[in-house]
Amino acid sequence: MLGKLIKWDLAADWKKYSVLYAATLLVSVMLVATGKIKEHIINNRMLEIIEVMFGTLFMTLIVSIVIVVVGFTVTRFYKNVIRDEGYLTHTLPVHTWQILVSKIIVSYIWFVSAAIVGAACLGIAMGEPLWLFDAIGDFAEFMSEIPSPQEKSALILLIAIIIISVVLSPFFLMSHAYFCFALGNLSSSHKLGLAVLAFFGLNIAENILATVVIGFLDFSDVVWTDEIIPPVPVFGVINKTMLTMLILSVAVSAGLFIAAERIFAKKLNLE
Amino acid sequence: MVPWNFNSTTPIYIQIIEHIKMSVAVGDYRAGDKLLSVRELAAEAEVNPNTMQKALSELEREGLLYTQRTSGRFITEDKEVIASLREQLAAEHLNAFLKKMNRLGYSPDEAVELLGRYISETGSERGGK
Amino acid sequence: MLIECRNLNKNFGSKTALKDVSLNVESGKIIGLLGPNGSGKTTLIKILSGILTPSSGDALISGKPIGIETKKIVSYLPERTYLNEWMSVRQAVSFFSDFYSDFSSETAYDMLERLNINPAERLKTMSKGTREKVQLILVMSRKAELYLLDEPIGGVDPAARDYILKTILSNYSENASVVISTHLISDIEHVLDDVIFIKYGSVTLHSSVDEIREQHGKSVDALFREVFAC
Repeated sequence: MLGKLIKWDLAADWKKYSVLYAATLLVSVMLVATGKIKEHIINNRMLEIIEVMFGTLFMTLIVSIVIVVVGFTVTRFYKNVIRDEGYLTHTLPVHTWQILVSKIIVSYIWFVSAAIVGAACLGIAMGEPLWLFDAIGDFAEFMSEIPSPQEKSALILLIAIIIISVVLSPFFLMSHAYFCFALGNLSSSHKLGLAVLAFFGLNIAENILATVVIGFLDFSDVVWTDEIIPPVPVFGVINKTMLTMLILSVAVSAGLFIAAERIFAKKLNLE
Repeated sequence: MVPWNFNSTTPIYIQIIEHIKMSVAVGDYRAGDKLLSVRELAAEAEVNPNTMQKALSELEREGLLYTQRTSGRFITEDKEVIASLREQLAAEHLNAFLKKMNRLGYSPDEAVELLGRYISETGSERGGK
Repeated sequence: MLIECRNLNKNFGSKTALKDVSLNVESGKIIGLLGPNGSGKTTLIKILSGILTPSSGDALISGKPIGIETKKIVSYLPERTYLNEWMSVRQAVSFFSDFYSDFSSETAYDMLERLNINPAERLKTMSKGTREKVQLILVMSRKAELYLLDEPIGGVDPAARDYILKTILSNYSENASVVISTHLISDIEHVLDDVIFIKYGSVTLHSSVDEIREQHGKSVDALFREVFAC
């Protein structure tokens, strides 16, 4: 059943995404093409204007691609689970958790594909389609040139934490959204309003929680670099803080996801 | 075919019984004819199949219908049963006629006289067998 | 026993939608759930379909508590459009076929043809009436044990109304029951076995149509107007 839910969740929006990706790809190609043409026809006012136009369009699309993906996935959840379509979704012979898991998996698919399309388009526009691989190669070289093994392992840990955080960020975002929608659903008249309120409240609560938790961290074993004056605690603090934040985020998001599932399973209150 | 027409005050199964009896009496159903299934009859009459079933069971009890387990429901082969049904229905109509005439102030004899006169005056215009 | 409700209560804040409702409904019946707007009909149906959980009391369908097992055997038609509007009719049929093992695409396409509905058309571009017909067709193309129809004939023209009732009748099986909630009683009275009157969240009557006509000498519609006179 989970597979079928995923299939239909994908079918719901694939056209929208295809249009978005195709448009971004097209604009990138047009941008590069215009640049190439400019090399042969110099000082053409018209071409300058067209290039700027495509350039602006391109920047807008690249920047907004993530916002758009967030918008599409959140809207789909709201319509399919909270609004009228919820009458169908919640009477299907499936478990509530399957509905939520399907939605998260599908949002992941869209986020990852958006990242891939974004990176590719960036590469095309810059004229270096494989820029990402070059960048990774450069970074690996840089890593091998770090003398101190302590600093090296600290840097690797930092990179790992950052990558994991980025990879998990759709999960963090979606679990927060689902929980807020679940709370909003409890109200009889202001479902969306309550959900938005919950989102802000949740953010505030989490910031407070994070500050408190970090306050308890023990930084006594931090490594102070002595290569620059004044000495700055670098990797130790950053790593410890970020690792703590990561673990906290995972725990909170998992908790929110489970809470959302419970609310939808036991306290469903469709309009 | 006698059209299905239900009023809103008598139980429907009773109206179905009357309808089928009438259909038999006028000859739309003949002795030994096979009836449609309960579902089909219910769909035709646009009534609940349980209601139709109730009516048919009652008619079976009264001997107008019989069931052969594998082949379905049939009108009785007994021509006398049908004949007495016709008489019974006719009697009901006559009774109703006399009652109404009585309310209008006519005695049974006067009613018979009026009827005779009416028939001779309008004979050819009425549909008849 | 197909449906068993025991002391069902449902409150929305301070408002009581269902008050101590206890009911038993057998298989093989067509039942009318009758009451004015706001009487609790929709709330009861939503609880049986799994969309709402009662505040207290319980409900069983075929002896099972409301959940994924009952959703497999209950076919629910809500009062609103609940199909995904981006789908075409064909996709909606495929969707139902995917999730419900008791669904028959053949039956659905047959009915769609009979009502002249183009399977390639998108739900979004259809008129409301046509969309409602599509929903009804999908719901009735399942061989469920319980059909819950919430106001199926309300916004529909008389010809379609007849078609809907005919469909309900021809779908009849001794292994299933149909619960129709409506306030248009005279239109459906002749297809009902039993009726349940519900007023201010309580069940005030549960009887067969024939019994009502025999005992009260009037139609259910007439009795309803008396009982619920304003």
